Amino acid sequence: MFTAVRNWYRRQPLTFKLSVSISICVFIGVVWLWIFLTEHSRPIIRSHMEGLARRPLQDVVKNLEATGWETESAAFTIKNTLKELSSTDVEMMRHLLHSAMQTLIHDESDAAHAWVYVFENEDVTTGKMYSATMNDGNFQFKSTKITDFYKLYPWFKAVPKEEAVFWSEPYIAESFDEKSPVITCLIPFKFVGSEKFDGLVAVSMDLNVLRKDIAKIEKNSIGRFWVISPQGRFIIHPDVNLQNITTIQEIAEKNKLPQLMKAYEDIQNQRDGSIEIPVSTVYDSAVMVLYAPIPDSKWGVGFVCSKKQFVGPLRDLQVKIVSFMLLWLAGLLFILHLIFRRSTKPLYDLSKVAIQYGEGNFEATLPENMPNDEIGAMNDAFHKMRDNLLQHIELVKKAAGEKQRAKSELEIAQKIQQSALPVEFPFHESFEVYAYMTAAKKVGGDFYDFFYTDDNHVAVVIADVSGKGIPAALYMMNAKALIRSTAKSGVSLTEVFGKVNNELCRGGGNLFVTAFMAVLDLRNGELHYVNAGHNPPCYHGKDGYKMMEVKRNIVLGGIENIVFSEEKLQMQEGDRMFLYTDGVNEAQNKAGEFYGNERMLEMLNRPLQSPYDVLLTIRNDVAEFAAGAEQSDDLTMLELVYCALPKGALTIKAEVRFIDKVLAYVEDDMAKNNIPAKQQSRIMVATEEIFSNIAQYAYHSHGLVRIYSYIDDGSYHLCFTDNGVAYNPQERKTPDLTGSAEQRDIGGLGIYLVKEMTDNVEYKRDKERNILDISVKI
Amino acid sequence: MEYKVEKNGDKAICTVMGRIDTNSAPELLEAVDFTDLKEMVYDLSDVDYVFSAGLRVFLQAQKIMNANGGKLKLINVQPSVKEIFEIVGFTNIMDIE
Repeated sequence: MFTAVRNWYRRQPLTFKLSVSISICVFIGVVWLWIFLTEHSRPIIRSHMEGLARRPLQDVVKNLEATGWETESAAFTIKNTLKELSSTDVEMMRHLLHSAMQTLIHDESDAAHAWVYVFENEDVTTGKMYSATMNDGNFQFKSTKITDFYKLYPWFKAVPKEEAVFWSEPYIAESFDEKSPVITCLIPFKFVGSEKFDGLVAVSMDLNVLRKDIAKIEKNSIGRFWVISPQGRFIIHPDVNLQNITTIQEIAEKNKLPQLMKAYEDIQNQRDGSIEIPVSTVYDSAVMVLYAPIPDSKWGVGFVCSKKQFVGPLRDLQVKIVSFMLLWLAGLLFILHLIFRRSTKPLYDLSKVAIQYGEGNFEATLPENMPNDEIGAMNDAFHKMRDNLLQHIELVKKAAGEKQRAKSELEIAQKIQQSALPVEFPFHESFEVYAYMTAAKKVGGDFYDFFYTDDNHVAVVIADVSGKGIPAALYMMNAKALIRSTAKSGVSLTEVFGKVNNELCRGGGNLFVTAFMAVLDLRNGELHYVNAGHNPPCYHGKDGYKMMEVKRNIVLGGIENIVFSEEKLQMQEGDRMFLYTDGVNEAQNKAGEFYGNERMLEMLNRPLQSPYDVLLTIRNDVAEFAAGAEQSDDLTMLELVYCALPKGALTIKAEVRFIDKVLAYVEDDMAKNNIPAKQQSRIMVATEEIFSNIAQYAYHSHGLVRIYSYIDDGSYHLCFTDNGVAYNPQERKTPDLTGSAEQRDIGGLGIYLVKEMTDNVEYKRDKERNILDISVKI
Repeated sequence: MEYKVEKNGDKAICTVMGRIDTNSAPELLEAVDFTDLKEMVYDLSDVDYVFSAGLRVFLQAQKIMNANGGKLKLINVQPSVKEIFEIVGFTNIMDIE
């Protein structure tokens, strides 16, 4: 998948790639900006919003403070006045309470309530209660005897008996017309001259009034308020059901909101702050709570507002910024695309020209008016490249011409060399000769030759001219022609090489040739040979090929008037002589190692090789040894085989097409020997089978068959010899001659026929030759 | 070797002259179209020699004719040639006159 995308991207034009790269960079920038804005603007906006939220909070705090202060100061005024009175001054008390009431009433709808409790005994069980009420401008005052304070007002127990202000928990004051929740400020007092506290002054505060005030403030603000008493009870809460009943601690515990406890503690310690609540029961969403204590008290006010209202404006801002950025990005891309297209156009023009150059059209004009930038520099480089290329091409043309000349010279040399070599191998009943040459690329100096010097002598030559090319080829032609013309009947090899040497020396120049020449007497197998500095041949006598001990002498064409010593040996029937040039034993592989005589002998002595096969084996093995290293010298080989056969033998190529010739020879031979007709036809059948068998199976490539007859002990014998693979017809099984046509095998009849038609079949293997002798009684 | 083929409906006569040897035998087998042939006659009156390659041709022809549900006949076979057929046991599986 990734690879596919990458490949696709690679195929896109440069303009596209640049645009994409820049877009990605800009996009990353936009994302980064988004994150940066979010992270950095959040606290700023939040503090701003908090500031906004704090204002109504402060209003409420002030309101509460004022109301509380009013109530407290009214209670203090009563307490301080009572300090001057005695418990009997009831009228004064009424007056005092009335004036205190008036300070609390701001408009006619307001109601106020105050009491003075006078204890009659120390354990505060019995006493008197003076209560004063101001409602709709009407003032009421009454005194009541109380027998058990605690029974009547159980919370009295919590009031500390010391000179301090105590605020009661909210409760429903029944004395008001409407049952309205109130909280009461309580202060213990002493009558004049008293040592202990004589009672309590109580001034209550109507929470409904407070709630109305707060509701007014809420109208213009973004959130809702709560107010907690020092005990943490909600005096005011957005959820009316919680008012007067639930404490902040209970909610904190129930909803697992430790931050609420923190707020409570802060308020207790006169600190303000803010907390966040992930899920609020009031808003069904995350909320911010800002809180502040009422100064010099343990009361607290909280302002609850939805978090959205804090973050909302920030979101809007972000969306606006990013939309703008994306729009800007699109515009940027468009402009970039235009710029890149304009900038890369000259590149396209250049590439078109480059293609034309590549096709060899150097006339293609380079684009004009190039910008003076990198592309302009490239255009200049193109100009230079074209000029250099044109120069270079001229040089190459010249060089190629020279090379061609050199090459054709070599080709000519090789043609001369090849044309000088005999390719048709003669067949004669007494000898076989095969030769093979592969020319190296740069050398053309090797040659082989074979020819009759007279009816009874055949000469073979192998030679290697020093030097290469046409001079070597011409020298070789000359040497070869000289040898042929000099080697006449009755001329000794010493004379031949002596004359040839002098002729070559007279020709001058610094070339010379190594050569080995042998002449075979076909009548008796006597072999004369002479060596002129050439590699000694290998001779195959009784036990395979061996290196011959040959006098080396000196090369031909070196020094004049040399006497080359001639040697001789007696060849036996089937003996072979293998001649070669140093292209064989001095062939080199890539490591620079030589092929060597040992390996050559090993290959020659591989079993079951016909004379021609031997040459192919050596050629293939040398190629394998060289393993791709360039052939450094011509590789030339020649093999001479002596076959001492009776006169009148037939030597013929082992090929099926010669069957008629073979049958004609046999028919003719039998007629000469007066063989009876019946035996003749039997021999004919056997001959056809044997010859076609040899022709089809004996050789991998070239090969000869020799056929000759003799009469011995009342039988006519016909012998077939070949150098092919060993094949003994005696080992063949007799085919099944019964059964229906379908059951009969189509092959295997030939050898059976041979055996049936003749009186005797003998086979032997000798010097890698098959000798098959068939006979019929006459 | 030379030959001449006369075809008449589902009957064919091939007259052969000379030697049937390794060279010429395959040609002889290809000379006749055996398709739907019911009777195949080889006239060997002018044949001096039949070698194993020739024997193979006649064995092959016999097999084809058997498969066709037809018959093969060798007529005018010279004694020297007939001897060869006898040696390889073809006289048992072929109609030779």
